[in-house]
Amino acid sequence: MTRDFGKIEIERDQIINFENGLPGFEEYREFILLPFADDSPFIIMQSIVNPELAFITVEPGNLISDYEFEISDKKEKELEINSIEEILVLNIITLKDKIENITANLSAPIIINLKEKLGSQIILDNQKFSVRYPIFAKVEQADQIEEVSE
Amino acid sequence: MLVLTRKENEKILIGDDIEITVVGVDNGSVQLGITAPREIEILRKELLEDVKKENRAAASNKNLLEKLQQLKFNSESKD
Repeated sequence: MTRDFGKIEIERDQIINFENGLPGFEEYREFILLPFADDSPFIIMQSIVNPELAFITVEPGNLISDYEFEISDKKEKELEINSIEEILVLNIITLKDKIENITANLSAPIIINLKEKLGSQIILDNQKFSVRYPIFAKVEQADQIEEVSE
Repeated sequence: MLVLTRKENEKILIGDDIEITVVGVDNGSVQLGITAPREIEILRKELLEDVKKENRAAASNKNLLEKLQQLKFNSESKD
């Protein structure tokens, strides 16, 4: 059961294991990635045990161009990362009532080893990367919304 | 909790391989130097708390999902 897509069938091998959960949600360790929509850059990260727990994420390339950080040796080992091509980096989006207030958490990217299906949210202690990075500057509203707004 | 008083440039050892140096004290701020093995994660605690808080906030916006459909990234139009 998913929060946003009703009931869906998933394969065992689609499940990403987060050994330590996510900060604040340590008890939820298994998630699946679901594209939000065909033409959308957003990816929903859905808990497989709690339908109500899902995060909206996006690849950082959509938000910021100079996003660089180092994954610690310990984390590389934990996620069994052997090559950069295996990993997917996602940033969690926090929606707000007003579109212009929507933010992305650049300080705590989610690192996923797609090959081994292992994931972890790491925290970058780098003041350059905000926990609440406003993404509005980087997005434009779709045409239909401009028509609706007065 | 152990409370120690240290002066500038004095050190504290934690176990065999973690060393904390008081680098400087200035106007209520203490600058610390930390030497530790690479596998030890060092974080400002309030940052971890902030990430927890933000994760909770992010997980509770399902009723705002339709907003997502209204968003389009500039980069999408470029090829």
